[in-house]
Amino acid sequence: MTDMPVRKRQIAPTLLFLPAFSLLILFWCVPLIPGLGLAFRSPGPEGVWPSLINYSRLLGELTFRRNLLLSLIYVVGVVGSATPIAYVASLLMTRNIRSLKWSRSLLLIPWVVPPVVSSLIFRNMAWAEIGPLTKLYRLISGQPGLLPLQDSSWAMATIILHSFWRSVPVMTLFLAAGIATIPREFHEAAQTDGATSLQRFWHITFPLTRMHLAVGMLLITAFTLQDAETVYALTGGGPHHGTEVAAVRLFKEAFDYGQFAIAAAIGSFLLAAGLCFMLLYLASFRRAEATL
Amino acid sequence: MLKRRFLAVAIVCILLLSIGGCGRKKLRVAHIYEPLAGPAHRLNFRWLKGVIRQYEKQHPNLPVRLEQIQWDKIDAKAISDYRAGVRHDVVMTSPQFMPQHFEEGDLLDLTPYVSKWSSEKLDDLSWSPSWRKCEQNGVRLAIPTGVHTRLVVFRRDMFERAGLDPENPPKNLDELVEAAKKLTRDTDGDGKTDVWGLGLYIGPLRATIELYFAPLLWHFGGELYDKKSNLAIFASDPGVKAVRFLDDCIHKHRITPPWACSGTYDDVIQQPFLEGKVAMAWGWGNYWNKVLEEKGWIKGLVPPTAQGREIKVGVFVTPTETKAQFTNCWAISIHKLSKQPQEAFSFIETVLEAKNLEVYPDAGVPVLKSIWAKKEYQNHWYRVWKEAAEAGRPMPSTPHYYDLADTVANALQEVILKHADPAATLKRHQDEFNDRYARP
Amino acid sequence: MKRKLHWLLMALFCGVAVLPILWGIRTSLTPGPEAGSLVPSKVTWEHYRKIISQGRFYRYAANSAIVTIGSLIVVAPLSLAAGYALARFRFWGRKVAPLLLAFPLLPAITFLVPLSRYLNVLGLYDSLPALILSNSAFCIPFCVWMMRNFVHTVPRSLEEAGLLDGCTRLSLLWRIVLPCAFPGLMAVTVFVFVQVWNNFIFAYALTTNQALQVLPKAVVGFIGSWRTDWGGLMAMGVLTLLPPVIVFQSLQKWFVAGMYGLGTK
Repeated sequence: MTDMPVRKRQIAPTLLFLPAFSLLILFWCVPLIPGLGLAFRSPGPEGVWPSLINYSRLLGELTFRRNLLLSLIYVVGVVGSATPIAYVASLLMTRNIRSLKWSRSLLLIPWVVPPVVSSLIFRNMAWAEIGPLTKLYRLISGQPGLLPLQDSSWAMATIILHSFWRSVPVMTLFLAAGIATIPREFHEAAQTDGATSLQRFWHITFPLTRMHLAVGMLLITAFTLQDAETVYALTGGGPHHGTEVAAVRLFKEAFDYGQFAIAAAIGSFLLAAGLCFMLLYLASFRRAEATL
Repeated sequence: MLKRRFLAVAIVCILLLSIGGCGRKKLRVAHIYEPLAGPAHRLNFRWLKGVIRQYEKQHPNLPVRLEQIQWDKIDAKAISDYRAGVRHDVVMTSPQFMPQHFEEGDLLDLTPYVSKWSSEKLDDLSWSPSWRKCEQNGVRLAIPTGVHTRLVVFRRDMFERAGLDPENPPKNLDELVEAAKKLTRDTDGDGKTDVWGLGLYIGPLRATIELYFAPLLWHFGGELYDKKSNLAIFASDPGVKAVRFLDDCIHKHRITPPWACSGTYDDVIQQPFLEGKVAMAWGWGNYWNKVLEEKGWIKGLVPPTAQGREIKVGVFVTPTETKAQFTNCWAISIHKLSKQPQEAFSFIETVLEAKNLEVYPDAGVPVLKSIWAKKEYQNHWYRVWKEAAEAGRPMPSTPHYYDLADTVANALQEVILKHADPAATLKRHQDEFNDRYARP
Repeated sequence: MKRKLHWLLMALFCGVAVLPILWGIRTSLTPGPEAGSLVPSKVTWEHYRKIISQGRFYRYAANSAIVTIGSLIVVAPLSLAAGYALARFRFWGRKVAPLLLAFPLLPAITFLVPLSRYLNVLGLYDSLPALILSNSAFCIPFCVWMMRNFVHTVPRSLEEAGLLDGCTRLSLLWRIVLPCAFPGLMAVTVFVFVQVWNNFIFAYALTTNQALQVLPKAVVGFIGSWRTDWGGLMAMGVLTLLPPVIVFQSLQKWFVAGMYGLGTK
């Protein structure tokens, strides 16, 4: 990598970087530290500090362990379903077929819709008697009396479907960006060697877009892991804690119950989970860079 | 370069303007009405504006600034804002959360102000269960502005069609179930029920514990919470009986629609009743009566007139042993951080003027005895509502009420939707709740 | 044959993408709750009329617009500058740069109470600048990262030529890098617009003043203890989603080009 000729102790880059950096420090890090510190304060208005009671209580609770498991299912479900579809869509999109030009603007719309609006639309679609999603689920499951938001697995499927629907556009964009950087000659050379399109995808497209995939997955994971507002609006965490992912629990503790210490403790779990996912993705990203 | 400087100046200007705007002295009134969100909100907002106009006329130097917070979050917001040092003056609050407000200390003690009232005024206001609930350990945290109570509303025409006497509605739970069985009908003969006898709600919201579980629990002789030990005690024998009753309505008698466990309380109770899909709706709130009038099912009752009468619907008090339904209201409080409590209380007094309370759409039924004495209220309809209001009970004195409500709703759903064992399920949820708030 | 298959597949994807929105529009045009088909049997504009006939709606829309545009004004130049510095110079910022991608992992709900306290101390609580600053801080890590990648794609030779002509660093940024990085800046614009306009959680936690409400809050306001007016709610929702959709559609070409610049070295 070639860089600008730099004198030692040059001030220009610092000047350019500092405004954005200080915005982050001032409006994110400064409130974040006491925010997370709250996790180590025992609950109630006169809490003691430091204390691990929030953690021991949370981990001792069956409901919270289930909250964490549901979060994992939610993230894996969304990332796992959105990625393959996004690959197909991005391959179609980058093909530059004139008759498909129109599709791009439609395909990317879900990402633009406000989450509160789309989750309420989905809730309406899964509503007992009039919803089209209810009808679809009844057809798939073969149970004519199925009420999706009253069955924990179908309710979970609904929140995953909603996030999947929102995530595919973002993922598609990232992957399409990656695919566009692959030189045409690679594919042409492979084609003359007689590689099938599946082989070409596996040996050329996939390795060369792995970096984009990692970043796309990271963003979707971050969004899904912290997503409280859409699940809260769609199912309220129900039925019987069946869709209460950790983020929804956090939202309820903070905004319904006023238990800010427990909320902060749950927040630290989410942060840790997010970091684990990030390390996982970045490891594959490194490998991808090494193969380049 | 020039553009940048311009932008910088613009940002600074916005900042200064906003700070300047905050500096002017105003009375901050936090309420729950979003005038864009449907007719009921609009109506109440208009009423609030009227009160404010009156207040501002009396206090020309202190304009009111309205603050709007979602109805089910306003109590928690008052608490978190208190912790964050954010000031409000007047706040709408719910009686259910008074123990939590007491513990957090985010509301001002109104005792010194209320003690200046004449005994007539106090007597006029202090009869409702909410009035008592708004005082915690001798500290008056709020003043009720209405009475929200619930009972069973039924379709007179459907009663007649099913051979039941609308003048003689069910008086106990057995009669209720029997009537509901007769009212449940498949009108078009396709093998599916079209009219359900009894509307109940067992969804993921507070209404589940308040309107269904608690009245049944009281009926069977149980309680939700023990104030002495600070423990939830709903997983008792009466608790199991209450859950069984609800479960039976859906699964055994099939008088309650199977979708009673999802959506919101209004989606499940109000809407199907208005559509004629439910013949008796348990848990009908008096703040909903206006739609009955609009539909022509009652006439001249909302707002009350001397000629008021029931046309297509009737009401009867929840037919449990205790006749008790959950009863609350919107109450009004002063935030602890208020810098002008005197003025804030004078705003509350404006709200409490009889002429304002009488026309407050969200009051439900009047909170002042003197209004009840008027002749417009001397009819069968309001007699039943008065009876319900007087027999009403508040929610228990736990500082963790919201969590208690969610816990019970989840336990109920687990029993009804997953056919889990009632006693074990209630016990597990109760233990988790008690462990969460055990003193270390 | 193959082409037809592609076309069909794409049509399916697009169908799934827009179907929920069509359902929302349908509900907003239906007088009451109604079972069944995507096409309502009776169409009414009543729900829209009730909303747009209130002056308050325009007030909220203006607040949403001020917050969104304000955040754009903050984020776009800052992320361009920071992205440029990260792409072109070897300095301490490079060491903290990997953290940029970690920031989106921090759950914002955790620190809303400390954030309110902090903004209250600064005298900014319950104001539009509070929303602008918090939203900007929320968007900036990803935007800086996007701009850094984009500046990488701008040929260095152009800048070197500029330097030889005696341009200063700043005018270099203004005259040469900015025009080249324009699609990247558009990508940032669309990203910020969508994120900020749609944001509910900051508006919910940081503003209560009736005059400072934004549109997503009004949508949620419909869910309540009175009968939820689904028609009105959906009408409000459709009105709320229109501006980001319009902005996205009109800047789409640049946005996609900007995203394509991602990660190319």
